[in-house]
Amino acid sequence: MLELNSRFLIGSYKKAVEVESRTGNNPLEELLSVMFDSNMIDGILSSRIEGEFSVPFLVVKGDRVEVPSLNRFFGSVALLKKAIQKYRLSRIAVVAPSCAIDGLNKTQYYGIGCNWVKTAVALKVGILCTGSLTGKALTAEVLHLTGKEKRIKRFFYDGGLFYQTEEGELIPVNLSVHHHYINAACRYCLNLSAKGTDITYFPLKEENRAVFIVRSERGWRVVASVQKERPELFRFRRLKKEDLEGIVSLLREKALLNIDDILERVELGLPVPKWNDNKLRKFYRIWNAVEDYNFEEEVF
Amino acid sequence: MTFHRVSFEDDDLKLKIGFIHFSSCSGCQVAFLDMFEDAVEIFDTVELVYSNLLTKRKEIPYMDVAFVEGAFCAEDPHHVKLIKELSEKAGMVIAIGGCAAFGGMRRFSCGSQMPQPSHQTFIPLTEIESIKRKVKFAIPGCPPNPSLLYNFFLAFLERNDDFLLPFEFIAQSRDASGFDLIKEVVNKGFCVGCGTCSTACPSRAISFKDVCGKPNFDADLCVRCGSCLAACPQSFKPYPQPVYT
Amino acid sequence: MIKKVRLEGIPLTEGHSGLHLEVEGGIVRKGYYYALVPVRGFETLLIGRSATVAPLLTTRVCGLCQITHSIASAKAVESASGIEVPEEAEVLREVLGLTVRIYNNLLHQITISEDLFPDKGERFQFIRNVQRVRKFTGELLESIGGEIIHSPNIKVGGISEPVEDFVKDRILEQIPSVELALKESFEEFSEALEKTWEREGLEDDFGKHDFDFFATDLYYGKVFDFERITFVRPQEFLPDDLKFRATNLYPLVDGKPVETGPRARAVLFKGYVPKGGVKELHLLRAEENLEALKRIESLLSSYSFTGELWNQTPPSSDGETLGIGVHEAPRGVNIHAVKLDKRGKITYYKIVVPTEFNFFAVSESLRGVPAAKAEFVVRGYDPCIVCAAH
Ligand code: SF4
Ligand code: SF4
Ligand code: SF4
Ligand code: SF4
Repeated sequence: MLELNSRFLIGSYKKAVEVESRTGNNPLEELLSVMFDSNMIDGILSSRIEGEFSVPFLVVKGDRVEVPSLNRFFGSVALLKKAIQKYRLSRIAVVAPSCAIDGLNKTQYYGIGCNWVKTAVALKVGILCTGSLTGKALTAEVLHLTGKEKRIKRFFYDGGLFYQTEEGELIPVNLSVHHHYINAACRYCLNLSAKGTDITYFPLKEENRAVFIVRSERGWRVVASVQKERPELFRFRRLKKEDLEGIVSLLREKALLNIDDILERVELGLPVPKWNDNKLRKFYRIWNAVEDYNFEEEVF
Repeated sequence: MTFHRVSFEDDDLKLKIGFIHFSSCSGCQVAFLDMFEDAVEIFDTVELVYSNLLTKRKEIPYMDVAFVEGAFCAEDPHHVKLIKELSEKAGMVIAIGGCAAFGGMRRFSCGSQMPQPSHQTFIPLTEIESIKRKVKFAIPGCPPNPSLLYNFFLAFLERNDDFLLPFEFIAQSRDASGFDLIKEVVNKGFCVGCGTCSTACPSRAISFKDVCGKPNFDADLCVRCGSCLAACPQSFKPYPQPVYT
Repeated sequence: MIKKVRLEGIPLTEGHSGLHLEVEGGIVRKGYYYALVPVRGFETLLIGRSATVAPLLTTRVCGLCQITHSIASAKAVESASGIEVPEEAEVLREVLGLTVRIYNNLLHQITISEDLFPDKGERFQFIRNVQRVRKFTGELLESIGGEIIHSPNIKVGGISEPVEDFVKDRILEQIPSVELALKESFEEFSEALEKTWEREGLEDDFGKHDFDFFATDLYYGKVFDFERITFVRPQEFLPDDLKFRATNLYPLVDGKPVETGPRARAVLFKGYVPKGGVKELHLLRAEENLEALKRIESLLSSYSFTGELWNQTPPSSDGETLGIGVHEAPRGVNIHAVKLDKRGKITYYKIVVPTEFNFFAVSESLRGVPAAKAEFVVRGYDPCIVCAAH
């Protein structure tokens, strides 16, 4: 039996902290900049918004550090080969939602399609994610929610999911509406909180505030050494379990929507990719089973 | 996995491997050497009993594992003989590269070229009944990446079944190309838009389609190597999830 | 009495090939060398496809000297359709071609290492040293060509990706140490070669012939009149079953058989006076590695590759014009010839690779050598059979 508790939804972690950047910048961008300056990383693999699109983005020394400001994260791994085979980067930070990090993990583990990846990644930052939207999908969603076309500047979580427009207006996003507009595959996603990364990141209401859920030893070392390097830049506040309750219930609501779609898909008998060992069916069985299940090890 | 051995001589504790070459460009075998220094270590751990390129032996001896590249050409009497030898002398066959695994570029061959216009029929090893049951694993790529070959080799020596399992699936599946990526992943609603397929494509047949956040497949450039589908996190995932520090 | 001897499957060479020898008293009186891997049909499979994909597909003719085919192919299509290539792109192609020259020649040293080093420990140590240099060539091929084997970045009209200065500098920085390693392995190689010749009791000019030499350039390749090449087909002269088994053509230049490759380049462009025989050929091939590295260094440091390197004009032609692309591959002159129609679809394709030229040279060099040593002649030419039976 699966319970949609915080162990399943957030997964295990060492510490959760709320980070405030004193310069007013995005705390993750600030963290990565410090890491660049102190040579802890030599590249960032991510995606960024260009007009209506999300494009794969590789930051090398001297470039401006950017992390995705909208929940539109496509193509992050597309430049992996360039980063490694061409630029020979060896300490790459990746900022992406769990699905893209899965692609990276897989390339590290097997080596399919790209050489020398195994030891080239210095940090994996997973973006907590309730679904990714193309430009058109965001336009339609905002029209649906407000009846008007608006220019959205960023997304953040504050109890629920919110958009902030260029003009500063805040739009609360109804999750069942959101569920309708997100990328098709996101409807079957079960790793919204990017378990298995070094740090899970999500932005908060103020642009200079964010939550880091630090999961690994490596993630913790990074935060500690950045804090040591530039103590004046950040203010950290340790979060207690209760502080994460808001995000847990948001994830629960979204996970339930996803699970409904998975169950329906299995019941309809829709096909899955031929090599994936029928992952949705596996979930279906677990969901319907009575006994306890060790989902920590499972990869859906 | 069991390895049948014919004799128990000195070097016998080492795994006997061979490289066999069908209709191919030899790139897959060379890719093994492109592990550079690591290749030397690997060739030191196993016993390379046959390779036209690297050993002096003329007759194919018994091999625990035969790494085979290239597609079978039905009009070539030597290939007919090779297939027979493989079925007798190889404990296991591993099809390396697109040509051997899914046909690869050989899917475009149509024959009628001098001096032997009769060479027209090219069949990947995974489709040949007489050795199919021996073809336990198939490795995608054109050629497979040296890193993949290295990891595969280690996993094989350590009998790491978690690692090897997908390559067993791949050996059963015959077709894998950019078309199959679209068919298996994108069309079925599983593409998350991560871009891994685009990175994995050795011929740059897959770019990224910003407008829909999905791969953009240019069939003209595809050499049917299967890398994209194999690399896609939605085709199969490593299990348990690997963690690197 | 003349005995006919067949040796099929020549160990320590690429692919599957054979020797048909007429032997008298243990000495070869007459020999034929031929390819035995199937014809994959690159010349026919390309017909009807877009000319833009020709470099990408033809690189897969060969996994040892991959890039020479994409370069010759791109140049052939460019010449058929009058596409101008940015100068820097041509320079980068030359760099990549020379890199593959080193990469491939060292692979050949690994291939014949069992001949050179009877002691396994010494052999592995030699391979290790050679692999260190090959690793550098691999890095260069990945950084500029996109992949080690089958570089996708060679396009009709240039090179698809600019090379940032920091990438170029990273390569340049490594050259001095690579040069040192290359020199060391050259010493080891030539010493081992001498010893092998002693051990096997071979004459200094073992495996010589008196054919003319054929090369177009020292490093890169110059246009050559395709009309001057004619072909002898196996069906015309090979005995019996070889008529339907041999899979290569025998090209002639001006009606005559030739040798192409490192020695031909040295004779025609460096004023080298040949002594003849395959030992010399081995040494000249190894010397080319050092020269190639020097040339790579000088080309990379005299140009900048950060601008647009790709003229993306779609290829198109009149269906008549024969476009010729010539590249000096590791093994010699590699020629691609193509015709395309107005839509840029290929209507004719022809590939003539260096090993094809050398089939006659190998055959001729066999004359007078002990039959038991015939394989040493073949290995001296580093034949690439998959190329020959493309
Ligand atoms: S919801 Fe899941 S699949 Fe979709 S973008 Fe987020 S992490 Fe990826
Ligand atoms: S898969 Fe590619 S590299 Fe391997 S033999 Fe075939 S064409 Fe060559
Ligand atoms: S799209 Fe690329 S990776 Fe996929 S099969 Fe074709 S060539 Fe291989
Ligand atoms: S690798 Fe990523 S982008 Fe490509 S098909 Fe798979 S999920 Fe989509």
